[in-house]
Amino acid sequence: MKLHLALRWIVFAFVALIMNFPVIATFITALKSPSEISRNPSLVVDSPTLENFVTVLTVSDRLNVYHYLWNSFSAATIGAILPMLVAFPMAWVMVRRGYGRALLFPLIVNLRALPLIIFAVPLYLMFSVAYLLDTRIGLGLVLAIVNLPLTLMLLVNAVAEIPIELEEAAHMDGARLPRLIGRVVLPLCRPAFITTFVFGFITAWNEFLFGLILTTQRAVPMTVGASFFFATSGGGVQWGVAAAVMVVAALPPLILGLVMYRRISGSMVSGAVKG
Amino acid sequence: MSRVSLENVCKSFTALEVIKSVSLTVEDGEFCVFVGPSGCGKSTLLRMIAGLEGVTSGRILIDDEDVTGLEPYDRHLSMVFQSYALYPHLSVRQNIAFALETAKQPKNLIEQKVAEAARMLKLEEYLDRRPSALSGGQRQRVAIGRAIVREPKAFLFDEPLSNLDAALRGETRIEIASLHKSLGATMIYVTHDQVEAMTLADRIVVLNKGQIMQVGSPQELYERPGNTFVAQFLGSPKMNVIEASGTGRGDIKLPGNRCLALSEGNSETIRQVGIRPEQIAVTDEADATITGTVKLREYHGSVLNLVVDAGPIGDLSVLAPSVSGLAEGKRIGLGFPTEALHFFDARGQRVELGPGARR
Ligand SMILES: Nc1ncnc2c1ncn2[C@@H]1O[C@H](COP(=O)(O)OP(=O)(O)OP(=O)(O)O)[C@@H](O)[C@H]1O
Ligand SMILES: [Mg+2]
Repeated sequence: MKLHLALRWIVFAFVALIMNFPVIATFITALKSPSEISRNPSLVVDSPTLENFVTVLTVSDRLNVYHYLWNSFSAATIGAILPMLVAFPMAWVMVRRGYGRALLFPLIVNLRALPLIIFAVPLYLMFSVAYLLDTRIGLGLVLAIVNLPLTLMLLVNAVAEIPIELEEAAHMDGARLPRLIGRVVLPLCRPAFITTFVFGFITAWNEFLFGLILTTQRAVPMTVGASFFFATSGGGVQWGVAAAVMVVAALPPLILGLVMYRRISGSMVSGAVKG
Repeated sequence: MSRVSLENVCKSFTALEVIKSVSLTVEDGEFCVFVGPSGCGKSTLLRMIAGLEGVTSGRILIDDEDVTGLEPYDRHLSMVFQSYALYPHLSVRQNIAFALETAKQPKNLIEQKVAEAARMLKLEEYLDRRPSALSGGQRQRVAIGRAIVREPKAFLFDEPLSNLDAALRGETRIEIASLHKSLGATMIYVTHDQVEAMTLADRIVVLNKGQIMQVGSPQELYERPGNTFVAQFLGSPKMNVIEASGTGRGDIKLPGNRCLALSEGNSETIRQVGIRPEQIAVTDEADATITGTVKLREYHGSVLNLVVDAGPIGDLSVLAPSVSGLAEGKRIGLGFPTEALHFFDARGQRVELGPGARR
């Protein structure tokens, strides 16, 4: 029995190691000095240093990592929350009233299947007319569209999972639409909102293409900003600094995922109907 | 409390006609039970009264006010669902208080009413639990509590006991009956369980295929069923209905040339004769005109439930006292007391004979 368990853990650790090798390698590289990187490719660091992180976290006249982090954070927040605001009423109406279920729903969900690059040129032109180029709001709006299909799908499923009797019971209890939504439907959709937010935020944070096309300075997100660090001093790639900036860039979504992990999934409707 | 009336109410789902012109008045304070086989439209009718389902044509009135076009929240009715439909994210207390809070009642009044309902339904210990931490019977009581706190114009129940086990069902049935007594409320109750219907109802409405077959008190329906459907739907085991032909001379021919003598009355239109299993007398084979062989024997404790093969008449179900010790394969005689007979015409409608023919 004990042996069984030990074996299981060994296999598990081994697989985890292989799967996460790029992440581990990046993290270790970030702890090496430039001279050590060129001479020691192993996973063991001879003289660990935080020098690379200091470089990344120091504001220079050309690079400001806090600025990129803030841009990403605000754009990703808009990009995660805005589609929820749009999709929730849409989801409820689709599920309960049937409007748009036949055409609009598949259409929006299939947006996901299109390569986003085909929107790049028209979006660029529209954004330049609307003065949205290189703004955090503009970037957030695009990220919202990127997130809309998944958000709608998750929220439609969440509303459909609420037994119709619950809404009927609320009606019988005298609840009109605002109270029905506010006191019954919204609370029951909470797990779905959390899941949607986490996925949406992470997707938006990691988005690169539109960040590259639609921003130049003021609204440059972390993903694009990180690439600026690769060649700080003109010449070749500084692998240590590059690794450090990637670690910094990966941290916020990682933390969000870990904190919210327990809340993701999980249904609220147990105990509602029957036994 | 209020009177609920239906006037020529019809309901179709696309092409399917589910309710065919139902007219009915449920009096103030009455306990009215809708029964019928599965799929006959009981729930649909109840949901139309609730406002959860629109009507195709006809009118629904509560206290002479036309509510046909009103939404459920404007009708001031309470409903207990078969599936309970408790709010899973709210505690028992909040579930019960939901309607009162919706109506913006003052806090202390809400507390007082919730406490009262909890005491009545023995839910005091569970007030702070979530529904998922309750047993089926407790959930059912919460659902009832949620319905009673707001003093609605009428209560609607859709098979509220069908998810409970037999013992609990009996108990809760008695609770609902006493609730009706203490509240004096108008209640409309849907079930397909005839024991519930017989024991709870002031008046039973028997439905079949979206039509009312008969309305009446349990006793009326049991003793004078208006047609073969009602006759066979109420009572367990169900009434025996035998092909017959009235001769018009005061007697009736059964298959196999056996005759039942009636003292009086015109029997011409009679095409079917009904008799309840418990009213068939088991006699010796020798002194009976109708005889049969015991084909099947079920022991039910106090009674035996027999299926008797009565030759040309067909199989009859018979209840006999279990002390009679009848065994399968035994030949017995069957007596049909005239006062226990029910007569029906070719369309299955009841035929009344003159008073002399019936007791
Ligand atoms: N929304 C609907 N769309 C189409 N047909 C429906 C709908 N609701 C009910 N029906 C049909 O209407 C008929 C009556 O249904 P209803 O639920 O009223 O039956 P019931 O008497 O309550 O049966 P049960 O005892 O099984 O609950 C059924 O044939 C059912 O298939
Ligand atoms: Mg039903």
